[in-house]
Amino acid sequence: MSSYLEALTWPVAIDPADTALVVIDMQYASGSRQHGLGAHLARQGKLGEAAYRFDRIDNVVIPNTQRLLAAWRAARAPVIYVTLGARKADYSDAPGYLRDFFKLCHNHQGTRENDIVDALKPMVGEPVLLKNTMGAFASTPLAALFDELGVRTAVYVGVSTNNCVDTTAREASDRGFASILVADATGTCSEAMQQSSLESFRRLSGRVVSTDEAIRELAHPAAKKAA
Amino acid sequence: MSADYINAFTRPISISARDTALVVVDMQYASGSRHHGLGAHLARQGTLAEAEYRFHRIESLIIPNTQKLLAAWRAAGAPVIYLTVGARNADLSDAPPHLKAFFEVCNNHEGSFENGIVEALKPMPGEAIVPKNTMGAFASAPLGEVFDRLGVKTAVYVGVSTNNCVDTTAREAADRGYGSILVSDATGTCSDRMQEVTLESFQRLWGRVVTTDAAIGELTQSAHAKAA
Repeated sequence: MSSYLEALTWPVAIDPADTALVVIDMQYASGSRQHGLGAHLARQGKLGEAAYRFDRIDNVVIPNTQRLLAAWRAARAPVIYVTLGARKADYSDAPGYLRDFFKLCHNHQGTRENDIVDALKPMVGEPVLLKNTMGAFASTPLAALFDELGVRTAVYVGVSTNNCVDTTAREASDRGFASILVADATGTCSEAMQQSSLESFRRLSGRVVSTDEAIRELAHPAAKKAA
Repeated sequence: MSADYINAFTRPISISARDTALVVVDMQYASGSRHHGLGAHLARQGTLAEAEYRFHRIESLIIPNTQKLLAAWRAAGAPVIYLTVGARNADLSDAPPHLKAFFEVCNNHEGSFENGIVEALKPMPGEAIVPKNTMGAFASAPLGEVFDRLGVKTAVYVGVSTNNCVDTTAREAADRGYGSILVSDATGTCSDRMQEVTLESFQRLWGRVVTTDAAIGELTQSAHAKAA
């Protein structure tokens, strides 16, 4: 497998002074087996097809995101939530390719499905940006928010790794922000898709770390810089 | 792989000579030729073999199939657009940090030989060439405006690399309301596995994946239907 591009990839560091934690689409719409997508599949008798996804969310993505949130809040570093869904109840604002998905998940502003899951509820004052696209930069002022908060680097967690997470992180890199994905706090439909998304991301787009590594570096940013 | 539950939601989109552009992505000497740019850099390091898959695919598959697609699009009078990647300034100061080292080793900036589109796929006079200094075209180029000016509702993407500039641009276009289609045998990257998984991911919600023959067949049929 080719590593020639990894050698050219920009090294980026986690520092509480300028590194945000960005939690993506951890909503009832597609982040819970009891609601939205999960409920839709259950009605069709196909919930088993998404067992990997929901097991990973319950057992890996949520617990690790809780740990990351606690670390970021303790370090007083910025925490930002991005959510997915239509703005309007008739879904007319959604791009064509996402409309059916939003409808089936009953995902528009104001629905229970549009809410962030209770286990990862934002604290008062933490910004929540609703996007109606996969990439946040197409439909939210995330770049302006990064600038306002002094964010130069963002650490991304949530679902789905290969869709909203990866697209938003790539968009951020293209706009000059450093991007880091957390391997064990992101998830998608299969282990193969997860691994390939991370592998692709590491080749030029940015860095991939574990939850432990992110928390350690946040606590000791200087050690990393000195090394 | 599992998870075809998402495929059921994916919107059908079609290829029509009236509103479907062929978009050729980053087929430049910088990273599309084993003799220049990235290829020359790896050769100097003695690691060109690592990229053998990439360059072989470009030479034996992507270039010939893109030539077929270009001929079909031109014959149908449908829009052809070229995207390129590279820094605007010779000192690379305008490049986003994650691409600077890559541009540097490829000597890829506006005006360099490496920045040029490969001879085998040279644009015809009047075809739009849209330079970008980012992976996704929408971050640094007015591709949306070019689409709107040409009446483009759907774009068919070919070129390199499937999982980077091609996929990112096609996703950005889908997020902005344009139909996006990737051509499986006219795109390429570092390995078959990365190629396949990128196409698989793209087919889940984002858009459609077709072969060169299917794209040409559908375009030609639409042109005949228009004439009839």
